[in-house]
Formats: sequence, structure tokens, C-alpha cells
Amino acid sequence: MRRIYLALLVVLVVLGSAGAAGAQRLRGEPLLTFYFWGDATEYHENAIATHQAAAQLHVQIRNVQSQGSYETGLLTRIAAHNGPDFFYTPDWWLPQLASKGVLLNLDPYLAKDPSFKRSDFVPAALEGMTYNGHLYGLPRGLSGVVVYYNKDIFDQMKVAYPSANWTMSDLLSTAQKLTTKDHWGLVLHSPNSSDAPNLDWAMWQYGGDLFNASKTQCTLDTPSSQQGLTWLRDLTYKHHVNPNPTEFSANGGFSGTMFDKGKAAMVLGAARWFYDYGPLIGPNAPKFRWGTQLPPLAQDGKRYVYPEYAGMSIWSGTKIPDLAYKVGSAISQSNGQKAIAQAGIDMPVYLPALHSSSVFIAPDRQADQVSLDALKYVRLPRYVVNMKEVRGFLDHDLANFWLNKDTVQSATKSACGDINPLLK
Amino acid sequence: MKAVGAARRREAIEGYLFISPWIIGLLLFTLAPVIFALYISFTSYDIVGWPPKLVGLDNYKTLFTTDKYFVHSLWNTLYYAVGSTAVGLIVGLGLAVLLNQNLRGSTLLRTLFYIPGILPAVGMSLIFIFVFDPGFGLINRMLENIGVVGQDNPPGWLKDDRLSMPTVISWSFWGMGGTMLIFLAGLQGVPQALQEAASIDGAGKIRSFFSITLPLLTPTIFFNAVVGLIGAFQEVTKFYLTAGATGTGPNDSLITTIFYIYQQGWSYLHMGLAAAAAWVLFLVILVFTLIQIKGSALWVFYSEERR
Repeated sequence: MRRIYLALLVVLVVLGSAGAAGAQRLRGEPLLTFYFWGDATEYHENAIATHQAAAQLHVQIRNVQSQGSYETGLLTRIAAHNGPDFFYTPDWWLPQLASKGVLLNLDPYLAKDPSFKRSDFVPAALEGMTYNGHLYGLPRGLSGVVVYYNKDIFDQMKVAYPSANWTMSDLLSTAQKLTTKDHWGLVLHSPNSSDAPNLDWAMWQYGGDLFNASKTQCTLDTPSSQQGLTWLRDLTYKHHVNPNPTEFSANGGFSGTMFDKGKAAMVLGAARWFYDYGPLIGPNAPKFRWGTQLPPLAQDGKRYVYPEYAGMSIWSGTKIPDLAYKVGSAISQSNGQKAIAQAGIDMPVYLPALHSSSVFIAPDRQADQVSLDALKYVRLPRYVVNMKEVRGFLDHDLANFWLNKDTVQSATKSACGDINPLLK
Repeated sequence: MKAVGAARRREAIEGYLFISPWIIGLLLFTLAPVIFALYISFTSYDIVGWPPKLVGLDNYKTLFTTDKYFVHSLWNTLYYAVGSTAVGLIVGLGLAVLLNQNLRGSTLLRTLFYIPGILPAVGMSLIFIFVFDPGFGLINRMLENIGVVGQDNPPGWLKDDRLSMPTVISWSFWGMGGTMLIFLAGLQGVPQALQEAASIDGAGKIRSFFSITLPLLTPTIFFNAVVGLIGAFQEVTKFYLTAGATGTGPNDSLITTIFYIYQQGWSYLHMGLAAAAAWVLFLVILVFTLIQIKGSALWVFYSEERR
């Protein structure tokens, strides 16, 4: 029995020491939990460094690599009333989290912050973090999806480089000219699936969209949306300029990889990609000459650019909202935004940082200009509260259409039949 | 007597003290979540909001009436559970019988056959996804080389709704190292004297296997069948990785109930519905296990019964 008491005593001493150490750590300086995906630790440390010093702020950084486990991990912590003070919010997820009261409404904090000026930001970046007229996230970065092209292949095939005023038929005919047994003419972000940006952008080009303007009705089954979807599918099964799913998997499963390997003459990709090709990450640079161009004009003569972006939100249950806001504003404004660009993570959304020459590292000025111009044409996708469920139905109901085993009418009718009840 | 009673009481207290971490763990981390899941299955719990609203039997009604996937997922789960358990039993027993022959190097072979069972399921599934890829997978290349299939229309395996589930079931032999070891232990418990007596009576090896070895192995087969079926009902990794972008496989041929629960609960925040589905799955597993236990009286032979 004495041994048991001794063992219990040892356990109590160990637990007590751990508790004391924790208390010591917390005493005097607030602890802020920042939950994010990716491997941008150094960048975040840079971004918050100034505020850390001023506010004596200790920021505990939690890093989760996979998007799937990021969402699960975040939800688990929130369910346990132990949410991170501050975290990344994917654009499509923001309406759901905001509608359920998970996110702190930032409007009162912006009103008190003299350094925050809406005019300093790319407008779409703030709009994308807005739900029901209130801001629920601070933008981290935003870049438009543009066309990357391999100049060596264009020269070899004696095809003119894409021009700024090209059209959808120019894009297709160029892709056809560039397709040989060695490379495809145009490789989509993720061919034959309902992934963004394929779906939204292709529908926009022909006047369609996923939902109506009030987001109360699925409009996938309208002729204009169907035209966009058919264009997308025909790239693979009619024009053969885009790989089929098997060919895509066999070549790395990512359009950027195929571009790097010279297997794709043109790809659609976020403008921020070019940071990966820049001198900062030299070994990843492709061995050929390349350029970028704005996506072609839509059928209505306008230009639409699909944005890739993410924001940072504050958990509504945080006990230190002011400090969390300080960290957020540090990342979304001057110092943080420069750190973003210099770390090669994203394109800044803070205009003074965006227009600073130090943030661009592309090999030629033309690519820089295309990236900047793309921001003028950004069109935000229409997201609804049940966006993930909507995407689940899109993946499911359009699966056979992407494989050329179903008609566009049947697939879109089925998808809208499933999606419409979610919009009510 | 009094001293003995006190000593026994003290011993009992010490015993409870030693097992208390496990009991506390069971109550807190297993039983409490099970009861909580039952409660939230009658609510519209969405993970992030509290308290959840009571909705009565709505979640259960939704599962069996309006939901597009649930019943289909149950059928797929049953198909997989029965198929993979059968494959595991047949291959596991076959290998155990071979390894029980005291061949040279059989110890090394036992280890080699067991190793796949301890490899991470994610890695194993990814390897099989590559092996069964219709375009560049080893299986189709091999079939092409021996002229069984043409290059124009190779089998789609995981991309073909008729072949996808049998393909996933066929991988079950990979992780049957544990089953094989249990069979091996069972085989080594079969009395040699019975085999020798049968041999003297003129029984060949095949007759001896079916008339002596197999009946004496039925308790082991029963154990492996029960454990295998319960495990197969809860398989998640293979399906999570093979179901592709849709998460349900071609024409929903790979959606299983566990994946459905995960998707509803964590992706769509319908945790109440997910909890209801989990309880239905639990009841299905319970029914199948009870059927196995009740049915075992008809075919499981315990050697003690002879006495």
C-alpha cells in the first residue's frame, strides 16, 4: 500500500509541476492561439513582430497542413469552447461560420482603428470577407487566375503569344495548334471535375453562374451555364486539348506540375504562382521561358478573373479580441503584407504594399503587370451558407457528365434538383 | 477471521485503484460519447452551436426517406463487410495451413506475410490505387502484356461502378496477417493424435483437413469472422482515399456509412444526422453479430462438447 501512495505522490508532483510551469508561462503576457494551414511560420512571425513587441504579445502558432484536417480540427476546438483566438477562413466557408455565430463581427474594431482605411485594400478582398453587410475576416492575400504559357512551345510551333484582347475562340484555336503527342494545348486547374475555378469561370464566360444574384435559385441548368459547362467538357472529349482524368493523374495530377514539365503549353493558374518561379525559390523555376496573360474576354465582351484568396477571422468566443484584431491587422496591412509577398506566399491586398516594387519578383515586368491588371477584373464567386454541401452535390451529379457519360441537361437538372432545397 | 477480511477488503480496494484509470477512461471517453451521440441524434446539433434544438425522430426519418445516400451507403457497407471478411478468412486460413507445414523458412515467411498488416492503411491504399489505375497501373499493364485486355478499353477498376467495390474487397488479403496468425495458433492446437488416427484409418490429407482440422478450427473461424465483420463495417481509410473527388465513387458505388457519417458531421455540420446514422450502423452491426453468435450453435464445434 505504501508503494501505491508513493506512486500517487509522484504523479501528483509531476502534474503539479506541469501546472506551475503553465501558469508561469501565462503570467504577465497574454497567449494568443493562431491556427492556420500551410508552412508559413516564418512569415507569420515576421508579420506580427512589431505588434508583438508593442503589446507584449505572445502568439502560439498552431500549424495544420491538410485542408481537411484543418477544418475538422478547428470545428472540434470550437465545439469544445476552446477555439483558437485567430484563424484562417477559406472564402467559401466564411458564410457558414459567420451565419452560425462562430466569427467575430469586426465592424466595431475597424471603427476604432485609425490605421484601417477601406480604400487601402483591393475592394474584392474586403467584399469576399463580408457576410450580410458585416466584415468577418481580414484579408491575407488575393490573386487572380490568369493564363500561364510556355514561350518555348509557342515559338517551336510558330504560334503568336496570347494578346490581352483575345477571346474564347482564340483560346481554343491556340490550344488546338499547340496540342501534339508531347504536350497538351491547355491544361485546366483540375480537369473533368467541378472544382473551382473551372466551373464558375467557364460559366461566367458564357453568361451563366451557379446561383442567381440573390442566391435563392440554382442556375446551373440555364442555357448559358450549360454552354460554359459544355465548353469545359469539350476541351477534353471533343477538342482533345486537355488531358482526360487518367492522363492527368499519370502526369502528376496538377496542372502546375504539367506546366513545369513542359507537358502543358498553357495552364490556368493563380497569379501568385509566379512567386514560385522567381529567384527566391530558384530551384523550382522551370527550365523554359514563360509568360502570363489575362484570361480571354467573355462572350459579353467583358473580362472575368476568378480570385484565389483567404482571410483571417477571430473566434467569437475569444477572451482577447482586441489583441487578436491587432495581430490580424498587422498581417493584413503594411508589414504583414510585405512579409507575405517576400515569403512568396500570396499577392498583397494592401495597396501600398502591392504597389511597392520590392514585392514583385517575376522574371519580367509583363508578368507583374498581368498580375496587377488581373485584380481589376476580379469577380467573386457566389457563395452560400451550405457551400460545402452544394459542392458535394456538384461533384456527385456532374461526375458522369465530366466523363462524357451524361448529357449537360440531365446532369444540371439533377444538380439543381439537389441544390435548390439547400437555398431555401 | 477479522484480519483476513480486512486484508481482502484492502486487496479489493487496491485492485479497484489499479483498474480505475481504465474504468475512468472507458466512462469518460467511450461510454459518455456514446450516450451523448444518442442524445444529439434527436437534435439538430451542428457542432458549433449550443444547446442543440430537439427534433425528435426527424433525423432517423430523413435517413430512411429523403436522404439520397444513406440506404445506399448501408448496402455498400454490408457488401464490403461480407466480401472482405470472406476474403480475409479464406486467404488467412489458406496461408496459415501452408505455413503450418513446417517447411524450411516458414518462420521468415510468417513474418513476411504479417508485415503488410502493420503497414499504414493510407500507404497501402495509395499503392493499390496506383496498381489498379486504368491507364498506367501494373494490373492493366500486366493484363495487356498477356493479351487479356486491349489498350483501347482496359478495365476501369476503381473508376467503373461495377468493378470498384470488388476491387476494394480484393485488397483485403493484404491486411490479413493478424487473421493468419490466429488461424496458425488454432491449427497448432489441433491434436496431432487425431490426425494420425485418421491417417491410420486411411484418410487422405484433404479428407483429414475437412473432417478433422476444419471442424476443430470452427471456434477460430467464428472468432475471426465476428471480429473481421465488425472491423469491416467500420472501414474508412480505403474508401476515403479511393472514392475520388465525389467522395462516393463512380455512381455512388463506394460510399460507405462511416464515410457518410464523417461527411454529414464534419463537412456539412449535420452532426445530429450523423449521430443518428452512427446509431443505425451500431444497431446493424449488433444485429449481424447476434445472428453470428446465434448461428454459431449450428456450425461451431467446441472440442469440450465431446466430453
